[in-house]
Amino acid sequence: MKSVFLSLIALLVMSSCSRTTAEFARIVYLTDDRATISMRCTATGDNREKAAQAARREAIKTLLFRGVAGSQQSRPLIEGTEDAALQQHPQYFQQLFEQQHYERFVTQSVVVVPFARNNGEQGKTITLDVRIHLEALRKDLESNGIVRRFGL
Amino acid sequence: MKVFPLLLALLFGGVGTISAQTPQPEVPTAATTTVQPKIMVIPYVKAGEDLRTILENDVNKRIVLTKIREAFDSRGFTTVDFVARLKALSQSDAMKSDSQTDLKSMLVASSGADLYVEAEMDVLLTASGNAVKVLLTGYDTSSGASLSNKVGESGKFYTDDMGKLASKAVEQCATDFLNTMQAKFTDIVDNGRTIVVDFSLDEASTLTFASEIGTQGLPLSDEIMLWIESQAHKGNYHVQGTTDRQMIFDEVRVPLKDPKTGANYNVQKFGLEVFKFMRSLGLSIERNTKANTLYIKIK
Repeated sequence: MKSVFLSLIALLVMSSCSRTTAEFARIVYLTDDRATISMRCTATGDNREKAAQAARREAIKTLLFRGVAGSQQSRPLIEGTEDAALQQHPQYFQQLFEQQHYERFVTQSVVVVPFARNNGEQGKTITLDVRIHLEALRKDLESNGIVRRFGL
Repeated sequence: MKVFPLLLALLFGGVGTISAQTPQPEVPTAATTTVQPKIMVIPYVKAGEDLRTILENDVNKRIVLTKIREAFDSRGFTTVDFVARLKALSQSDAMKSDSQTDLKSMLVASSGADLYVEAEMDVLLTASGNAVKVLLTGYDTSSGASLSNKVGESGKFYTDDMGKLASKAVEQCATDFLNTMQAKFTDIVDNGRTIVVDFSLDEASTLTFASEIGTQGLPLSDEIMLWIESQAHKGNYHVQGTTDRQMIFDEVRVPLKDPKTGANYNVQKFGLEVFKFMRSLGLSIERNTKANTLYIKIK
């Protein structure tokens, strides 16, 4: 009985520990036009699919909170800090990131470097060329009251 | 056996799990619609060029203006039509001026535009290809403050289609230009709109700005300055200069909305407050406004 009890406790403790790779992402600007922007995104993940999702998610986050250097969207779409935005609009960002609504704005996602361990990087990474429909993303932010429409 | 209920309770009790926070309902912002600024896109006029005919003679300049206005349209913002305003102005005697600077100022002032965007186009013809550069500058009509500045380049191509190159040059910088302008709009929303307040004395008035006035016996200029300081949004103002006969505040920040009523606040309402203040000093005034400039003549 005691051994069964201890085994169950051990099983419980082990199941609550998840094996995750330390997060890493890098975004590089490629091209843009009036409505879309393309970026080369590198990200880590436990598997190919999670790494690809992380890359696309990081591309969206870069546009939202940091801006993309060298592009027409060098300023972030959302002014202020990421933490402040997440606190102010928790429902919207929960849907956007955790429920993966960001995928709606990804018009193209092409694997450039397959999921593998690459020199100098932590864990296994994948590199994608991602095209984001920037205009649609901006309009979504405006219609949900996350950002102000152009003007005062 | 008594242990099993405890284990079940631990398993389903959420040990090692993150409890989801119930998202707070987001409170919708309400209230009065903010009056948007009027923006006009105008061509840059070089020496020897005539503002009246500059667009008639060059389709590529028309393409540049149209592409810029298209960029504003894509953001849901309507601009004032330059050609229509120019035609309206040509009906008046004011168009007899030969000075292009006067003409441009008259055009911008008569249009009622709060902001204007000046677009300059430069064509580069070389043996290794042709290119077009576009310089976009956005100004506040009243204060002359620069709101956004961008240079767009088409890149070199072996083509004679300057319209296409001009279009490419505008597309290369329009989004960034509008984003910079939007950042300035955010500054206006947060820190107030800039107006210019020009105090002058009527010719028949015996007062000067050094005259001691009011219950504290302070010079008129100091009374005005202290009052402006108390009224300016977040105490933000700047004095351009003071003489015996004139006192100019080239930047006074006023809120977008009246803090008491939530209604749109504008230069006319600020003028009303100036009127009440002057009356409290026992002075009568004449008020005029042009765009975001308030002219106060003290009698």
